[in-house]
Amino acid sequence: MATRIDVEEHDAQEEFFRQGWTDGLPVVPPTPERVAAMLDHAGVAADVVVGTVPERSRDITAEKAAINAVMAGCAPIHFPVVLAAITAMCDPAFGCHTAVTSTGGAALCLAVSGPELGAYGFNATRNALGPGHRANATVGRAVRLVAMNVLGARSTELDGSSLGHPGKYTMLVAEEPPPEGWTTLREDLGHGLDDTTVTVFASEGSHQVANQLNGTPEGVLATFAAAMTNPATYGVGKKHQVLLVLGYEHRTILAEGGWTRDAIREHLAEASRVTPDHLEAGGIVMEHTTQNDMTPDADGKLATVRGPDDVFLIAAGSPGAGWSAYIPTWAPVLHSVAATRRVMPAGAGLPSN
Amino acid sequence: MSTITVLNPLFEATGPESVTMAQRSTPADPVVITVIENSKPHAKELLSYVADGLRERLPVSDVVVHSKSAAGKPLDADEAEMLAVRSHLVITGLGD
Repeated sequence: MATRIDVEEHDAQEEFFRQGWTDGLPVVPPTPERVAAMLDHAGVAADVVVGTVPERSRDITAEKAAINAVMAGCAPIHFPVVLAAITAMCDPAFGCHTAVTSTGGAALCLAVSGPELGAYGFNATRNALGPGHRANATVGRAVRLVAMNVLGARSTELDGSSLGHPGKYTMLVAEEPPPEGWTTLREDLGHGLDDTTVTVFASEGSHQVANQLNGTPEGVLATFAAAMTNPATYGVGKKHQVLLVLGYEHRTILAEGGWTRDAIREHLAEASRVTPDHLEAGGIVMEHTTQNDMTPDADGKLATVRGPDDVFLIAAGSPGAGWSAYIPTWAPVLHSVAATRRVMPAGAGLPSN
Repeated sequence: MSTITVLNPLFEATGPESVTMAQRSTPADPVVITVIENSKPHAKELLSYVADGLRERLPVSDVVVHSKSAAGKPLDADEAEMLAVRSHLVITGLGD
C-alpha cells in the first residue's frame, strides 16, 4: 500500500514540486479519501495489478493509478477510462518501455470511442484536440503521470526525449458520431457499437491538415496522403501507424462522395508508399543494415504503413473551414503498435480485452 | 498550521532490498564471448570493432556479434536461451 505522507496544507503544492511528483503544473492533493473514491467507483481493490512493464520490473497497481488520476484532476467517473488506458499501455505489443524512453519523445495519445462519451464529459466537437474540457485534459494527463511517477519516465531518470512535445502533458481525442453509414473506430477495431474503448498510440505531435477549397474526396485524400509522406516524419517509409482525425468538412465530403472507411484506409495505405528518391530529396539516408530495412519492394517503393489496418480513422471536430489532423506514431511497428482496451462500466473492475 | 495526509504517487518496491549474485566459475575452454548490438545505425560497426578488440586481447576461442531485431525490444526467451547455451559471457552494447 502507498506510504502516507503528512504535508502542510498551505505548502502542499510547493512540496509536490519539491518531491518531483508533478509534470510542472499544480496537482490535486491525493488524499486517501479521494483515492478511495476512485477505486470504489471502478470496483477495483487497491493492490490489484493493472499492468506490468517487465523491462523496468515495475507493476502499476490500481492504487498508484488512482493516486495519479486524482493528482491529474480526474473525477471518479473518469477512472475506468484511465484503467483501460493503462492496461492497453502495458500490452507487450505497445512496447511501453521504449515508448516512454526513446529520444523521439512520444506522447501517450489516447483515442476514445463510445456511444456515451458525453456522460464522461469528453468533448469531440469544437477544439477537439484543444483545451477546455476536464475529461479530455485529465485522463490523458493521468496516464502521463503514471508513466512519470510509477515507471520513472522523467527527464532525470529514464525519459530520454531530446525534445518531446506538448502532447506529452496530455493528449486525447474523443470520437464524434461518424457520418451516417460509417462505422466507428471501436467497430473498426473489433469491438461492439455499444462498447466504449480507449486506444493508446505512442505518437508524435498532432499535425494540422488543411484543405479548405477542394471539395472532392480525391482532393481531400490527396492532402492526407501528402501529410502522410512528409520525409521529416520518422516512420515514413518505415512502416509505422497513423491516426487520422477527420474533421467535419473532410469526413462529410468523403462520406457523401461514397467513400467507405475501408476504402479510405486502403487508398491511403497505397498512396502513402514512397520511393527512396522522395525520401532522399528530403535529406533522408536509406538504412539497409539496421533494424529498419529500407530496401524497396518490387514496385520500387517503401511502405509507410504495413496495410489498411495501420491507418486509424476517428471523426472529431466541429464545422469550420476544412481542418483535420494527422497523428503518426513516433516509430515503426517494430517498436510499438497501438493497443486497445474496453472501458468497463462503473464497479465492473479491470478490462479483459 | 493544518496538515493534510496524501498518498505517495511514486513506485514503491515490495521485493527484497538486495539479492545474492549467482556463483561465478572459471569457464572451460573454448571460451566464447557474445556481444549483442542493438541494431541502431552504426551499432553493428561499433560493436564489431569492440569484438575485434576483445578477440585480439583475450585468450578466447571466439567473439560473436549478435544483432537484436529491434533496439526497443528485449531478447525473447528462446533467443536468450540460445545465447546462454553458446556463450560463456554476454556483453550488451548500443549505438545511436
